[in-house]
Amino acid sequence: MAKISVPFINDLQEQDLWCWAAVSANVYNSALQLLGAAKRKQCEVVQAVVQAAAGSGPCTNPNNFNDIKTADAGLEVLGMADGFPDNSNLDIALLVGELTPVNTSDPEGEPVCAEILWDDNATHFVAVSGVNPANNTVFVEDPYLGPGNTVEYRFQQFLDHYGAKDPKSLRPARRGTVKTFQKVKRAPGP
Amino acid sequence: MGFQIRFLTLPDGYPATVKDQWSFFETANAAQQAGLIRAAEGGEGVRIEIRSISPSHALDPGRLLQTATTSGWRVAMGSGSSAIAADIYTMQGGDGGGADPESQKLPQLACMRKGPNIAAMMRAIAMIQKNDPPESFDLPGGSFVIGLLNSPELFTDALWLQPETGDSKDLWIVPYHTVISNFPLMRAYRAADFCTYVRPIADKWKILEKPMLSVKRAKGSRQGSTGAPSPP
Repeated sequence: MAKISVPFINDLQEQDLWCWAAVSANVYNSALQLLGAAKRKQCEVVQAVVQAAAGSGPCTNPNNFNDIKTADAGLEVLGMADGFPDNSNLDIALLVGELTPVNTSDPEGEPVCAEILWDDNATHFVAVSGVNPANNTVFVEDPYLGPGNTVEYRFQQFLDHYGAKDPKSLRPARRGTVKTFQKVKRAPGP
Repeated sequence: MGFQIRFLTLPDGYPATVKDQWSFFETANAAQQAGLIRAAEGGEGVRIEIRSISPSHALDPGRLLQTATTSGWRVAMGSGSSAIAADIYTMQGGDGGGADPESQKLPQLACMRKGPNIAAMMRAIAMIQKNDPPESFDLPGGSFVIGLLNSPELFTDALWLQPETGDSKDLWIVPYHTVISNFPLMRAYRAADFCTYVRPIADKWKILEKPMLSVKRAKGSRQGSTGAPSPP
C-alpha cells in the first residue's frame, strides 16, 4: 500500500507554548481549505478555550496567554475532536484508518494529532498528515517547524524518540515520546 | 589566526545504516539518496553529532555539553530547496512498541527532513565556515568541532561549536531557528548568553510538578487540568 496523506496547512506556532493552539488551528484550517472558508487564528483558539474578558484576550495580549494547554481542548472548541485522546491506540493501523478517505462525500481522510512528552515535564503537539504502511513511516507536521518542513519518521522511532529524545525516566503510561493520539472529525465549527 | 570548523567522522557502520535503510523513506529522491550516502561516507555534505540536553540543563550553562547525551547523528547535504537531512538515532527503543524488533537495533535511520528548517541549518553552517558576517562569528582562533544541540523543549534549533585546539575552552552556540521572541539567529553565542535567551522556557517547564497530559483527563472531563499556570 502506498502513501496515504491529506493536505495540511502547518503554520508556525506564534508563541512558544502555543503548539496546542497551533495544531488545533492548523487542523481546522486544513479542513476549511477544502471548503474555501476563512482561517481561524491561533489566538482565537486560545480565546475560545480560556474565555478571556473582551478587550484583553490573547489576540491583543498574546504574551499574557502563552500557557500550556492540550490540543484536545482546542479541537473541542473548534468542533473537531473525535472522541478523547487515547493512549491505547498507538499503532499504525489507526493512522491508516483515519487518513484514508471514507467515501466520495468525504474526499479526504483526517489527520491525527499526537501528544508528545519530553524531558522535564515538557509537552508538545504535532499532527500526522500522512502514513506509508508499506514502509512503516509517518509524515509529521510540527508547528514548531512551520510550513514546508514535513518530517518523515519511521513509525516506531516517532513513538519512542520524536525530537531525538530518550525520555527513559518518564513513565506515566509508556516509555517513549508519543503519549496519545487524538482523532479528528471533519466538522468545522461556525 | 582564524578559526576552522571540523566535522566528525561517522562511527563505523553508520554509513552502512544510511545505505541500507534509505529505502524505507520516500522523502529523498534518487539523487538525494545517493548524495546522503556519499555524505555519510565522508563526501560532500555534513555529518554532525546530535547531543541532547534537558531544559533544566540550560539553567547550568557551564556544563551544557557535559550534561548532554548523544542521541545520534545527522547527515545532511544541499542548500536552499534542495537541502535534505537524514537523522540516525542511537537510542534504545521505548517499551511501548516492543512489537517492532527493528526498534531495538542500533543504529537506526529514524527520519528524513527537508524544507526551510534544514536549509537554515545548512545556511548557518556555511556562514560559520565562511565567517560571514565576521561580526556574527567572533570566535577565537583554533579548530572547533561542530554538532547539533538538541533540546526540542526549548523550541530552539542550534549548532554547538566545541574548541579542540587554541587557547579558549569556551563552548559556542549558533541558533538557526526559534519561536522565542527577540532572539537573534545566525550568530555565535557563548553558552551563558545562549542560555539567557532560553532560560524563560526552561523555567516554565521547571515549575511543573507533573506534565500536563490530556491522557490524565481522557476518561473524565476535558476541562480538568493539572500543573499548568492559569492565564491571567
